[in-house]
Amino acid sequence: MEAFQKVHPLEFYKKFLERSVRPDGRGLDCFRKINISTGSIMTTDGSSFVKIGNTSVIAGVKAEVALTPTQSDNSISSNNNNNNNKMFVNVEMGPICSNIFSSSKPSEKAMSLCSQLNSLVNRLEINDKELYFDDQGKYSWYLYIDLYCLDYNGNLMDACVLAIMSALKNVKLPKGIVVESSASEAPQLFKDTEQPMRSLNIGTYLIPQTFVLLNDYLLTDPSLEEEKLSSGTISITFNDRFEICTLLYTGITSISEKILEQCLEKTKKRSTEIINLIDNCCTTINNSNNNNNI
Amino acid sequence: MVIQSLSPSEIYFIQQGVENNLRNDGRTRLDYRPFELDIGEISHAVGSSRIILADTHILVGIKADISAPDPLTPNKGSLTFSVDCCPSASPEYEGKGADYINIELAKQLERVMKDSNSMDLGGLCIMPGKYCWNLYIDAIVLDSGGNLFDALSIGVRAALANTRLPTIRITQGEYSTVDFEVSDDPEAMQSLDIDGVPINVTLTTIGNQFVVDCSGEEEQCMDARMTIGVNKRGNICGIQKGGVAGIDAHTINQMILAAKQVGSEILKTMDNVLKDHHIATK
Amino acid sequence: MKIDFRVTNPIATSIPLDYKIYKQQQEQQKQNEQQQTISVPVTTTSEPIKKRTNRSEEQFRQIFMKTGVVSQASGSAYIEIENTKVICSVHGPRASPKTELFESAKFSCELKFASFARPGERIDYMESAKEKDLSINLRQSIIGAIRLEKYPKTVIDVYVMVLNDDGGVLVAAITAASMALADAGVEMYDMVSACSSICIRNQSISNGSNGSGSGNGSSGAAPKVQSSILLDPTLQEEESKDSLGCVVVAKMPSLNEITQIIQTGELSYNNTIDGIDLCIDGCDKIYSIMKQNLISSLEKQVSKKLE
Repeated sequence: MEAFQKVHPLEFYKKFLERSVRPDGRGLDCFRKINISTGSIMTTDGSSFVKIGNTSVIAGVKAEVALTPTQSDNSISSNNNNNNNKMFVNVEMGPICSNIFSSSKPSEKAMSLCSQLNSLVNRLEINDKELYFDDQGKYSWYLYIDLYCLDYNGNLMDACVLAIMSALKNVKLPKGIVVESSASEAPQLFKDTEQPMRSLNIGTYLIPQTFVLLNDYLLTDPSLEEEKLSSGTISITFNDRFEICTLLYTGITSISEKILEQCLEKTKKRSTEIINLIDNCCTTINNSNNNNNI
Repeated sequence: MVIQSLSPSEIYFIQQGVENNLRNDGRTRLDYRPFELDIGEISHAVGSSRIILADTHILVGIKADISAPDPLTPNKGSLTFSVDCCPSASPEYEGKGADYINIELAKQLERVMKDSNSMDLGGLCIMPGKYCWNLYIDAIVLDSGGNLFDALSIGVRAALANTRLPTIRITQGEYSTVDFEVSDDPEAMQSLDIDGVPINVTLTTIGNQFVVDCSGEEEQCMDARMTIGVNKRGNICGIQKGGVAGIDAHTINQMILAAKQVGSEILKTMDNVLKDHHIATK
Repeated sequence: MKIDFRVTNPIATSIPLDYKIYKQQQEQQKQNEQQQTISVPVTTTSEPIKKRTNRSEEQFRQIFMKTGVVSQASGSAYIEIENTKVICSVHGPRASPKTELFESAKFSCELKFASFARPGERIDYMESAKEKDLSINLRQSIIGAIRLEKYPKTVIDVYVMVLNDDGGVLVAAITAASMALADAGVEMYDMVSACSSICIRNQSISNGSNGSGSGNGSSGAAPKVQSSILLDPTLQEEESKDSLGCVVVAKMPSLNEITQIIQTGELSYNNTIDGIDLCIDGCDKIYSIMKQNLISSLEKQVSKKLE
């Protein structure tokens, strides 16, 4: 049977899809088990580890400080203006996750994912005041979010979005103190480790969902083999008010409006489950260092 | 010199010789080959040396400039090492072939001389926290006859002994800024204290025994190599093992002891010669 | 031409320092008003080594190991030495894209730090000299154990990623790589286990000479500084200014052969030998933990297949 899978992979899948089931036992609309754990990396200001089936992504957030850019009078609202970005996302898909990636040149998939996530992270509705370093807001925190894919088994976009969300919820920022020195030297910036740290107040949740079109069948949460055989990928991200934050379709065939509506409906249905998942992982304060979910 | 690859009989011959404490060129296991040092040949460098250890031929040059010191060590200057193996030394160093060995050689020099804190870098400090000397030590391997690690370290030590930095005078400028003045007098130079500078001693295991200072042919029969940095105080300044085979713990103890003895002898001879020729000031 | 899109630092940001240490330094400066104190930035390395509370000087930290964590790799392992977290995946033996004939497998190792792995500054995405050096050391430690001649015309690649660095990175990398190679089924003579130790300068008792170096100084009868050897140092212990030197030893315990030994810093002959001996004992103990973990993960795999 494995030989049949290798020689005629599409036929192999068709036999399962005709009976509304997938080779790993899932239904066409079922998603794999998601595990999220946060706070395992001590050197970061916030971290999380997300596992969707076998796909694993680890996210680490490092916070650094710089002068807050002053708003010029002609600037447009911050949603469209990328100059006021305070969060930078970077995705690394190295040879550790799969043998199709090389270590020297960054893969194209990583590049496209990175640009999508960079625009997505600004939809989290984090107030500028949350990221102020001192009380007046002269300096702000800049967050560098680094995502490393540790195992690539399909549906990396969802894993990355969930990782970013949970890592940001796990971020703890200390209180900042600015000490003015003599006029010629720059003021020195310090963090107050004796005061309790504060978490970020994130305005909304991001609910991601990826679908794949295989032979006119719509599959949710594709695995790696399904992604390779698919003719199109639809990636949707909602916020908690069901506004579309990202809608991306790539593929060799075109899709009808009906399929798109089906995808939007299915994503909406899943929203409560994802919101609960993110909330649960963040309320349990993870003090233990053992990352047993790996 | 191009070293031909050895046949299994030749390898066996060398191994048997080593067992009987008689090497190909007549030395015993712990004998060093005689080497020549030419000092100060490059006039544009602040310090330079050339070492010829049998067939190994290495040129070392040192340049210096002034910049702000590393904020974590405001009292010390800095050293930067780079090694370049020329294709003339061996055909395998052509193109990208030498990248790996260049990094290994430079890293071992860095480990022994800089990371060990054995050398006194405080002498390179001009004004704590503001200005210090940075030395850029570049070595070129022109010909390889075995034992590059040792020859490089001896060459670098001799070049450092030869280094002459112009004397600096600190002046008080206007508005309480402190500035420095580089002396124009070609006679007013300061030299470095090389008392603490270590050298590498490489021991290679061939069969059940180990030898010091292996030649090019012996390098091809080697099982494993240990490069040990030794300084004048008799302390160990860095160890790195190379080669594919393993070594057992008892042999390692013996090797480190032998390295210490051989190293201190070489340092003593070297310092005497440098003092006689008024190169080192101590 | 592909442009590297990775954003290193689009805006010049800096990391704020700890206020508590700054206040302590200010107080100390007020006390030494006459002396010319230079402002050293307050970092973790300026603190003295804290005395170990939860383990003795000759004990290594808690180790957690698991194999088979990356489904896409031929073999993989994840190791946690308390806070140091390292993941390793092995690809191979697989066919090489180059068509030249070579009689034994080509073996390459690559070690990478995640950009958030170390406290303080973020690590750059480009390969640094430190990562290259660790990769070379890792390769030299394990290559002696693999039967490369059994896999002609193939390539075996080992990739190690350090997620969190709290001291003992090379040790964790060597151990993880051995476990991953065993998980991949690559034939080896023996697994390689590694251990590290540092020699620290205790506060010397005689003459209050805190600043004297080890061994004899330039003044004839300088007092010998008390030093002690700690096994399995944390990052703070490794980088502290009291640390005189560090020794890393990798060995194949069944064959009793040492495959790699690296020593940095200036140590006397006795301290070096003591450090090496302590590491060798540590390696044997870690080897037994590796064996247990390998057997238990094999049992799990077999029981899963039987279900």
